[in-house]
Amino acid sequence: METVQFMTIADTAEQLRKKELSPVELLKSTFKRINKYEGKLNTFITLMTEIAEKQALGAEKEILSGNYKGALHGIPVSLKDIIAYANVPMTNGSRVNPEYIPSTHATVTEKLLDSGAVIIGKAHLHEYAYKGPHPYYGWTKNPWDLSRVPGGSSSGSGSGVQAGFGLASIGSDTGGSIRMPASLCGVVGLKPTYGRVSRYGVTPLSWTLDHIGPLTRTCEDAAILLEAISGYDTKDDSSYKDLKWDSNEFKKNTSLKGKRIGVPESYIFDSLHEDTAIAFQKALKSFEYAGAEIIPLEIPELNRLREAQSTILLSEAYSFHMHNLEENADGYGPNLRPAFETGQFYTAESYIQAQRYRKKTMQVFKEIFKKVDVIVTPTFPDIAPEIESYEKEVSFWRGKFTFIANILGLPALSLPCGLSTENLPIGLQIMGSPYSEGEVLSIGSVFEEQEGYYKVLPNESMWE
Amino acid sequence: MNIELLKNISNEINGRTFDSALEKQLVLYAKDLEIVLNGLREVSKEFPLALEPAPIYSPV
Repeated sequence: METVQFMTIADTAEQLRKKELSPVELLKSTFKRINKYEGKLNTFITLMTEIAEKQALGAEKEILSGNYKGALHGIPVSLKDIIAYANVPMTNGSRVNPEYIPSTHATVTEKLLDSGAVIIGKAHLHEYAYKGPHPYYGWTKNPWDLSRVPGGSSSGSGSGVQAGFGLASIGSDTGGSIRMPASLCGVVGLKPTYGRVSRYGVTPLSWTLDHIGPLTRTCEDAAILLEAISGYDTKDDSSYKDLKWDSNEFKKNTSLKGKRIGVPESYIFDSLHEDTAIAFQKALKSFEYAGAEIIPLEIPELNRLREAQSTILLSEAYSFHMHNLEENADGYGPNLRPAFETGQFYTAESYIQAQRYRKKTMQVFKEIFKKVDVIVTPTFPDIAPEIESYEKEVSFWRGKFTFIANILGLPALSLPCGLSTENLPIGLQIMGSPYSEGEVLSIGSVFEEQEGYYKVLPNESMWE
Repeated sequence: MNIELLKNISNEINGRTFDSALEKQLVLYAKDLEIVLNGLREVSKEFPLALEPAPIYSPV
């Protein structure tokens, strides 16, 4: 069997379908890697070994008896530990209520189980999906350099997928929490359109900004995961009835002829790490080489949008956490608590103005998407920061490219587009109009195949 | 932003008991709060006083 780290879901599914590989063997190989490297990488809060073994055995029996369910049948997947799995502890990466055990599955968990996926554990995360990890759980490490942050808040998901601890992970994204770890760990992360994936059974950070999506090795794998987890859910008011994602919307093309790619140049280049700027320029050349037209954009509305995002996020987060902040204050980590407490000082008027500005900017983007098919930016302006220096920062504002898709509800993908001079991955973000995941993933796939960065892996000997 | 003001808002308007252990960090966070509130006040000048219902938020 190939090493799990090199495997994609698409290839592995084919082997499982043809009975050339058994789900039990695949799971054993996955846990062998986890047991070998988890001590250094710290990507899980709870491993679900026994549950996963039962599921893998069940999948094996089903496949052998001719009941193959599809591309996720027998595939090991992890869940960020704010996503409920019934009867398994859910910590949210916090000490506010670490003994909490949900009694029902999140909708996304149920959908994964229905598709035959094997759930291997609850992935580490930034506490309540914001700021940084609680000191009790410590930092998840970046597989490319253990002294660097892996990005967050879906930190265990990004690091774990890169390390081959399962072939995918489900994360959440409120300002970039799927795409930033994908970028810094060198994997693919997809934040779908608002309403595409149910949030039922997922601890909220900010109701109107939260999204659920996959972290995978390739764009094709993200399309497979999206098909399994998307769809209308009566238990989530924000999910839409008419949205039926079908992975046939994802096309493995080789050309981008006729595609128009928008680049908000002045917004991007005013504060970019030199290596990120070089990788991004190279990516634009690659798009042109594939036949796309690059269209420079000026979007002045972006300059004030961050203020709307902060107001909405912290007001909504405070509304959710206010009683725990009073009654269970010591459970919060020392960095998260003051950040959430700040939410109480935003005025009702500022929240309303933020939502009005949000709506206005959505209209601006509607017009922009008549002129371009997608908008590209780097995912993260910097390279992965050192953990030591990152911990001293008060400002969280590294999400200047990613938050746009949260506040506007747009689908957005991050995929690897190069390496820095220090051998750290750099991510490219592709944003599309609402419900255009097929377009976003297909364009990403052309770039991915042309450049092949997903095949470049970190040196795992440093994790021993 | 004045920390006494934040304390008073917390205690008198928001029904909370201000924890003085947070003072130092809240002063740092409040710097951004001021920028954000001023920024939103500025952009709100662009909104017309029209008779149509204000588009607050509907997903996508």
